[in-house]
Amino acid sequence: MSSSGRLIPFAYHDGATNMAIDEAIVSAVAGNAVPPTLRFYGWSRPTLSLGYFQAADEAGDWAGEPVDLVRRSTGGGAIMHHRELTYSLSLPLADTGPGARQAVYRSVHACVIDTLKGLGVTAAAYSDVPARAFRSETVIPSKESRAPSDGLLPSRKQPREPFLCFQRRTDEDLICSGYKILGSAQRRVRGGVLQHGSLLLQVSCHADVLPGVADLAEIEIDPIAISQSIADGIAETMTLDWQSGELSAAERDHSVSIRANRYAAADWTRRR
Amino acid sequence: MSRDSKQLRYAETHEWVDVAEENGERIATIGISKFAIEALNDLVYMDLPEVGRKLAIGDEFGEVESVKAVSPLYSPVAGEVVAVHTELPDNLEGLNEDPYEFGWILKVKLDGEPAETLMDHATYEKQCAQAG
Repeated sequence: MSSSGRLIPFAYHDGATNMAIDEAIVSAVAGNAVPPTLRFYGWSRPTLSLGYFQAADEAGDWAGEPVDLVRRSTGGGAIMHHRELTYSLSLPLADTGPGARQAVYRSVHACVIDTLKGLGVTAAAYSDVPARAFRSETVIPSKESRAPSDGLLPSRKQPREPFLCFQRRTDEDLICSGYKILGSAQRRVRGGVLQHGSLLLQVSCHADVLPGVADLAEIEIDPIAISQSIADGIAETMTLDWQSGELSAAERDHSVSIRANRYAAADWTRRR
Repeated sequence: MSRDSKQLRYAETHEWVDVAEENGERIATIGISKFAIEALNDLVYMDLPEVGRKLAIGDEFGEVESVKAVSPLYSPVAGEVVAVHTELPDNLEGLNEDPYEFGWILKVKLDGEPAETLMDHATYEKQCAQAG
């Protein structure tokens, strides 16, 4: 029997608001104040989101006018939110073990694989790609020469992992034609988990080394339509019955406070 | 001499605790269990608390990142942080090699008893076995 879930209608917000809403939601979900919640959203301005532990000065010339900068609560590498689709899934999760964590990654990514398959696009988890096109430290070449390469991008500081999420590889990442097109990351809280994910749709002029799935498959992708298909898949996989719903008044108030104190605060964004 | 994991107590959230007398004070040394470190697979970042911070049982005292997941670390004791292992965040591979000696994270001057829910080694191992 399905249990109730909440599907927040697609909307555009600035980066700080998006991050604050997600934190308010997972807090409410973990406290059993609201049901499991799925949200797809856009960004009102191109925004570079840093992984929680990334150093702000690594953003270098990726961020800056007209690209906003925000720090996520979730791990992993930086994402250029421009021509991509972002989701957040907040679930109650008492299990503190890593197995539960991986299960959430796999479940959602399997739904994205199925959705893309329906569009005639083949994608697979990095761990399932027989001859891995790239090693984890490999940097994707520029769009002018999209062939697998070990070359490093010039004039970017090279930390121990590539700065951008889509230049990294972990087992659950989705790969299409040798390129990473979907990456997700998590934040565990007491009694719950927030999973962020980004499906790269098209190459962005602000990160033109990263082709999107529409570029690779040479098709048009409607973000709203694909969101609904992925939501349907998650509902089936997790036996949830999505009901369209808005934030509660408490979540809205909490998100305003979180936004002011964390995600819109320059000293918090640049705390590392 | 390395700390004996069988003599430690463990939180459900995989922190270990070693309480000992040091200079007339009851000091709890806290770390993360070998099971958790192996299960987390690849710790890449760790945040530590500041010395002097007051902790209640269940407070978050730090955060770690593994496979793009940020997870809080919870204090199994109440008291004041009197030492943190500042070398650890830059040497996380040492956690795998020696989680109970090199892998200590912080020392807390106890204010009261540790959490009643702490488990002995045998009980903790059963929890880990059930978690797979």
